[in-house]
Amino acid sequence: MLAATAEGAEIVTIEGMARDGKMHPMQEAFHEHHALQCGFCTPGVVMSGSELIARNPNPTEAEIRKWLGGNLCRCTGYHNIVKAIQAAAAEMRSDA
Amino acid sequence: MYPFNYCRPKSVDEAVESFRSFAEAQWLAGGMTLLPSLKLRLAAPGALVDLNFIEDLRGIATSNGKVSIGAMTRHADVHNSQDIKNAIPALSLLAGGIGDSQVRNRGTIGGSISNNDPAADYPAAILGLNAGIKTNKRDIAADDFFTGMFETCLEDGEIIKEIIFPVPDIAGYVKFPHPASGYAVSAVMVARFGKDVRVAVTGAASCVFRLPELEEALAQSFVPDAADSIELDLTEINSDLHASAEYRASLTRVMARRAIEAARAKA
Repeated sequence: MLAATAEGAEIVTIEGMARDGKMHPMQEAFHEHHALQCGFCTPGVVMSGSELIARNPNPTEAEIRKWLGGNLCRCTGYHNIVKAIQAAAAEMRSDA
Repeated sequence: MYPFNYCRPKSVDEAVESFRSFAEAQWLAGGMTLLPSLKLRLAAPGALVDLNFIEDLRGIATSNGKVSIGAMTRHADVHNSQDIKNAIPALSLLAGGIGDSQVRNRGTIGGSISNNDPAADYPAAILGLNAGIKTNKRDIAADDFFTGMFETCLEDGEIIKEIIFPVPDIAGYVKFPHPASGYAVSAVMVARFGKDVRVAVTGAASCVFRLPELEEALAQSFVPDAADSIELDLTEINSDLHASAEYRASLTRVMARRAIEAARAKA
């Protein structure tokens, strides 16, 4: 989006995911499941994955893959990304 | 980007006033085409009039067999609307298949049809479902709206306010998406309204178009085999890296068949 359109909006970036020095469950899951290789796409994927869980707490693998259609991983490491998002979803459901 | 003026009106009247006060002004809706064009310096407007803060242009309402969608309603909102899922499930499906989740969160129905990309999804919905387009100046029929590649009958400074879809008895939309962009290599919307049938094709030519002969055949008998008789003028069909004209024509028959099957499944 055009930056000027965001004037007055609250913006959450990857740096806002951890709270009080504790990583977000999605970040934890990415660490645990080795869901990043070069790391270039990781912030976007973590943000998209978290948005998906907010809308759909128990997504299927197909739903995760469809949702991530706009997030390209140049290492092609999608397998562990999907695993991590499923694990984070399970963790967040058990916390809820 | 080059410098440009930016305004953020709160009403349609204010927007029109802002538009008139700058040379070379352009409307900014979701920006899914315009912003990349600016970055690539393919467009250099004197001003962007941002329509994202005009409340009146957003929202979905259903009444008396019609679904009205505000021009600035996002694809994700159309896709997720329970009212639209109930009234015109093919339209919900179409909106959910546009681009990716980021695009669906920003892109708008009014922006999409004003841009009239030859491979965009929404033009097929407008033409196939016979939607009416209400602007700040007039009401435009679907058949008059799309005039050519990236062209519509909208005048300079005219704003779409809402799009009004009559609810069909049944409808089906099937797309063969380009695997990277999600744009239609060919896609077909089929809808039946009482005795009348409409069929619109997007992605296959320079502009969305109807198939009157198939419409007549389907009005007689609404069966998938009717799609086999589609004859397309190959000189009018797109031929590019992704698909030759012959392949696209064949694909269009397959998409039409599947759209008819999808519509019948909802009967």
